Amino acid sequence: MSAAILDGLSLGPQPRFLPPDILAQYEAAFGVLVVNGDSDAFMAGSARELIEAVNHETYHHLQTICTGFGLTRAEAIRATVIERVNKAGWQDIRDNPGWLAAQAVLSWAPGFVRRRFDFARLERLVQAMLTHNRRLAVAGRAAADDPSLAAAVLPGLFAALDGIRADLWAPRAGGLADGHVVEGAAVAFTAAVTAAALEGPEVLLAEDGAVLQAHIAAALDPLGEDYTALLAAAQARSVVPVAPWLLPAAALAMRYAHPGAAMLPLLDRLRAAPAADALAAAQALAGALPALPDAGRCLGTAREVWMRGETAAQVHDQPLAALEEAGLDEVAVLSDPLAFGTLPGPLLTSVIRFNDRVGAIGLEAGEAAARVACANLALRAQTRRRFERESDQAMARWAQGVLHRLVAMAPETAPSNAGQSPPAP
Amino acid sequence: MAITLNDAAAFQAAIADRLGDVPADVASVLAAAVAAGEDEVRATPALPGQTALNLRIGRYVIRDEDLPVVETIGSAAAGLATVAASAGIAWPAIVPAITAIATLGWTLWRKGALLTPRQLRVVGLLRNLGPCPAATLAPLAAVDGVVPEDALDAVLQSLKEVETRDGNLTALAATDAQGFWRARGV
Repeated sequence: MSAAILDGLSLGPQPRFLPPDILAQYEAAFGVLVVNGDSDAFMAGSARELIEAVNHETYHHLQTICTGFGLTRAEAIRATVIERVNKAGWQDIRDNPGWLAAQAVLSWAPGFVRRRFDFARLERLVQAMLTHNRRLAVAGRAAADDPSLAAAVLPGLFAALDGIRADLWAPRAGGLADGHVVEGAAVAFTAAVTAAALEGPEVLLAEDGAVLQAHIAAALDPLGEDYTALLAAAQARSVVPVAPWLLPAAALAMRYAHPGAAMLPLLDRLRAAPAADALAAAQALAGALPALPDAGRCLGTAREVWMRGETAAQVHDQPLAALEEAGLDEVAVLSDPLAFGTLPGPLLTSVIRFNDRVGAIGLEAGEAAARVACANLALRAQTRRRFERESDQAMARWAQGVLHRLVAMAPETAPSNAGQSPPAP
Repeated sequence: MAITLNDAAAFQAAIADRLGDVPADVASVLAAAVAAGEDEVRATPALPGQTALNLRIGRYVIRDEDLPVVETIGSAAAGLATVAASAGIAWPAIVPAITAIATLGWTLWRKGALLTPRQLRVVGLLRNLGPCPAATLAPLAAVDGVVPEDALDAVLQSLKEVETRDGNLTALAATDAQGFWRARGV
C-alpha cells in the first residue's frame, strides 16, 4: 500500500471510537477498514502491529469480494442499514416539510435571483431551523441503553443487525461457527504474509508446514477463541500440521452459505493431496464442489453471486470487475500469501480510516465520504451527544452572525458612557 | 509499541512496575485496583448489532499511551497519601480511596475518558471524606498545590458529567440537598 493512496482526501476529524483492545475492524457493507492507530506510524512502518492489523482487515476485504458468503453477508448488512436510512429520510421529510421545501426552492433559484434577494442569508436561516428541529428530534428519540447517534436516528437498526451478527457466530454442524472460519483464516493468512516477508517464501512449506503452523500459532497466541477455534478444530483431525491446507479449505468453505459446517469436510478432502499441492487440489475441487447439506446452499464465488444479480449494491462492483478483468482465481487470491503484495490496485478499492485521517483506495472523495458516513452509522462511530454539541455550536454560530448583522444595521446612538474619559490604552 | 501479557497477575505486576516513585505497599494496592478496573471493562457486554469484523486482542495489553495514565494514577495516589499524613490520617484508612481512584481512573481511561491529576485528587478526597462542603475539601485538595483553591469549583463541576468514548455520561461527584459534595460510582 503506497503513500499516494492515502493522500488527497480530507474528511475532517473522525471520531475515535474503537476501544484499545480492538486493533482494527472491517465494515464489509461499505468497504471501510478502520485502524485503531495513526496513519503516520503505519506509513513509517514503525508499528508492526498496525501493519499486521491492516493486512488482517484487507484479507476480510478479499474474503468479501472473493466468496459468495462474504459478499452475501456484506449485502445483507448494507440492505439493512440503507433501509433504515431511507426510513429516516422520510421521517425527516415528515418532521420538516416546510423547511425542506424552502431549502429546495432556494437551491434551485437562478443566480441573479439569489444575489438580488440575498438567498445565502435565507439558506443559513433554513439550515439553522433544520439543525434545531433535527437536534430536538434526535433528543426525543434517544435510546435509553444506547448513546450512539445511529440508535436515535435509525430506530431498530441494531436489533435487525444483531440477527446477522448472531448468525455469524452460531455453531454449525461439526462445532465451528462461520465467524471462526472467517477470522481464523484472516489470522493464518496474515501470519503467513509476515513470515514470508521476514524469513523468505521457503518458510511457507518448510518441514511440511510445521514452521508455518508455528507462525500461525504464535499469531493466534494473544487472540481469543473467535480466532483460535479454526486451527484447533482443524488440527484435532490430523497428526501432521494442517497449516498448508487451512487457507485453501477456508476459501472453498466460504463459497457455502454456512462456512462453519463446510470447513472440516472440505479440509478432509484436501488433505489427501500433498502439502505442496494444497492450492492446486483446492483449485481442482473448486470446479466441482460437493453438496454438503449441513453447509447450506453452495453460493459460489462473489463474482458468481454478483453476475447472478443477487446483490443490489454497487459498493464492491469495482473490485469484482477487476477480478473478472484480471482473470484471477479466487482460491489463489485467498490462499497464496506470496501473491498478496502483487494484487492489482482496483481489487483493494475501499476506504481506510485511521484515527487521524481517512484515505481512499481507488475512490472519488465524494463516494469515500458517503461510505464513511454510512459505515459510521453501522459502527456506532458517532455519539448522540457529539451530534447535539455540534448542532448547538452551529446554532450558536448562526445566532452570533444574526446578532452581528443586527448590531451593524442599528442606527448610531450616543454611547452610554458619553462624557466620560476613554479608558486608558 | 504494546506489551502483551498472559493473565491478570502478569498485567498487575507490569502495572506495579510502571507506577513510578510509589512505595511498594501502595504500588501493590494500586496495581490490583487497576487490574480490577481492566477486568471490569473486559467484562462489559458488547452492544447488540455489531457486525464489523474485528481484530480484538484477547489477552492483557499495555500500550505506550497507557503509560502516562499509569504514572498519573501513581502520583495521584502518592499525593493522597501525603494529604492523609498531613491530616494525621493513618495509611490504611485511605486505602479504599486510593483503590477507588485507581479503578475509576483506569476504567474511564479504557472507555476513552482521561481524568486529570486534579480530578483524581478531588475524587479521592471525596471517597475518603464522605459528603462534605467544598470549604472542607479546599485545603486538602490544595496540598502540594495540586488543586488551587480558585480551581476547586471548576474541578468539582467537571466531575458532575464525564463523557466516555461511546457517548455515555458518568457522574463522579454530585451535590446533595444540603449542598454537600459526595462521590458517585461509575
